[in-house]
Amino acid sequence: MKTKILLLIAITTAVFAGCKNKDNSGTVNLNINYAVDGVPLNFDTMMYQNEAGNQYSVTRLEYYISNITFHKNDGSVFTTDIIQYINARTASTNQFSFNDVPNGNYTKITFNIGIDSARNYTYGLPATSENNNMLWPEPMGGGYHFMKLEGYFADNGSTPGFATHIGTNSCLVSIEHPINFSVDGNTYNMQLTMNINEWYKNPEIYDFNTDGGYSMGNMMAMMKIVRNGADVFNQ
Amino acid sequence: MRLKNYYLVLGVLVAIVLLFACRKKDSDPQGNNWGPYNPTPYTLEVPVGFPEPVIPEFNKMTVEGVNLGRYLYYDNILSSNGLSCNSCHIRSLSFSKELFITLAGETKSIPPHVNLAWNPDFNWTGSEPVLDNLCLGDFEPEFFNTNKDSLFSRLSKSAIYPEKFYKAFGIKDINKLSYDELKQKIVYAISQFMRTMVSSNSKYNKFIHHLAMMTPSEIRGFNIFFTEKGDCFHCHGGDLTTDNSFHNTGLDANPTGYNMGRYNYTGNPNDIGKFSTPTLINIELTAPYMHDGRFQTLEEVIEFYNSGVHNTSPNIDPIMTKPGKEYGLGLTPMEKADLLNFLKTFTDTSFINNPAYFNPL
Repeated sequence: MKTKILLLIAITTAVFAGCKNKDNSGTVNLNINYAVDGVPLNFDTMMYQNEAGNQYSVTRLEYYISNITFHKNDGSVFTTDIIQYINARTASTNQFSFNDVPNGNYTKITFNIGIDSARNYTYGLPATSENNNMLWPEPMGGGYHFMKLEGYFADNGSTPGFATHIGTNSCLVSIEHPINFSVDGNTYNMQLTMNINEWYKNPEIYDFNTDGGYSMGNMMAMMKIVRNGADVFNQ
Repeated sequence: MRLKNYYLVLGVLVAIVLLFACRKKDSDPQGNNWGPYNPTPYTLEVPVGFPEPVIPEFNKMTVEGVNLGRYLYYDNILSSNGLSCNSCHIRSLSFSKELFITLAGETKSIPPHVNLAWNPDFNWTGSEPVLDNLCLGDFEPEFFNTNKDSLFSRLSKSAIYPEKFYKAFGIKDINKLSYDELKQKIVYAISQFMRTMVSSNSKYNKFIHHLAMMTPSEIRGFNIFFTEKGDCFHCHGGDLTTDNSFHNTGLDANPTGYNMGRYNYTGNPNDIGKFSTPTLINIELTAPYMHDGRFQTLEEVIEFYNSGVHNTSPNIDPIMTKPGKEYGLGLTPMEKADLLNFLKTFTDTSFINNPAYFNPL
């Protein structure tokens, strides 16, 4: 009798252990890189040129991405509710993982640059130093900066700064990025590359001289950047 | 009783006596019994809106450590010249003082001790990343000019410190420490005390959490500060009123010497002219202003940002060179007065009058 019970326990354990190995989900590691028209981004160097012909450097790039969704070819989706603070200078903030992504063939990823209106209010995010430094002032609408992209540009011998910041609910940037990958209980490493120049072209050319290097409080300038932002991750 | 049993009883008695003899004494070389070393953890209260404080594992806060630090902060026992921490960090001035002139002849404005538990680095150039090491330099001739032998002698013979060092750090005999160990423990204790110096009760702090009202003038100033009109908020936002970063706000067209700022620490040309963003909490109490105290009043500071910024200064922050403001912010006299009134809402008298920070000696 004792032997039979032991055998039963052993079989049950083996079956459960066997089931565990046949995961029906996997992990997706996302890693974001930066380039300017194919050239990897180097901060603090006046070596880039945008579509308007402005020569420029980048000194700061901070932003949020949220509502990350993986779309399967059958139309079903895997959605996450994280709001990820990203500082392009800090590698660790550009690498994050999603566990329990259901097995299947995926064809695109969608997400927002910025924070959706339900969560974009002052002190709505945990009070980390990074989040607090991204606060968008209450007199200007409250919530958080969606993005701070700063640097210097060449202007007739001088190098004034530019600060293309976007924020407020109407400035949410929706990204739809086609990418084919399969999850089959494994880990998939996804690379995304942001092309800085895309913020300043397509569909509209943004010129630091005529559109203004400072976008906060200038809805026309911000909306131009928002419309250009839709394809910043397309290669 | 048989002889064997006598030996047994005797053996047990000897063992008990030996055990007691071997027990660690909770007393110092003079035989004072201070009880077991069992410091009480100190929980630093984090005000609403504040991030998590920086408290290193190697110097966790305890009630006894904070207490020792508070005594040492006010005690000239650390110096050979009569100075103590509070000689340059005066409570009524938000634990600050006007100026300090270095041996090299540089004039530096003394940062206040407020909300230091949230600073990722220290000094105007960020040259010290760890609060728990910050004060080690104060034993040098430029500051306390500490005499090693005198320090050991005065502390170990003091009526209060041997027990406080034991209760804070388990040190039974100060004289058994090396000079470096003693300095480190002193600085650890002072750092623990400084981490308790928290200000979150200014009118500004209450206002942003909807707990206080402002006057119409203060609100107008708030709106200048927190919009692109004045654009002070990018560096001085949130409850801490500092982004804890480094910026060149265009003080000098061609910075040299001390005015080269963080560059003097990092050697990176991109850091020329950059200085740590100071807190604005109690800014009304901490004149003169800027890293070198070049401005005597807040009116002068406002006028600098209104009309005196050197736009061609190397590495001037991109925020400072916005189009249309090449010739300054263009504030009217009334707007400047409103901004000044708003800056005074950063004053927190409950902080400087908190008995927990008083001189205990």
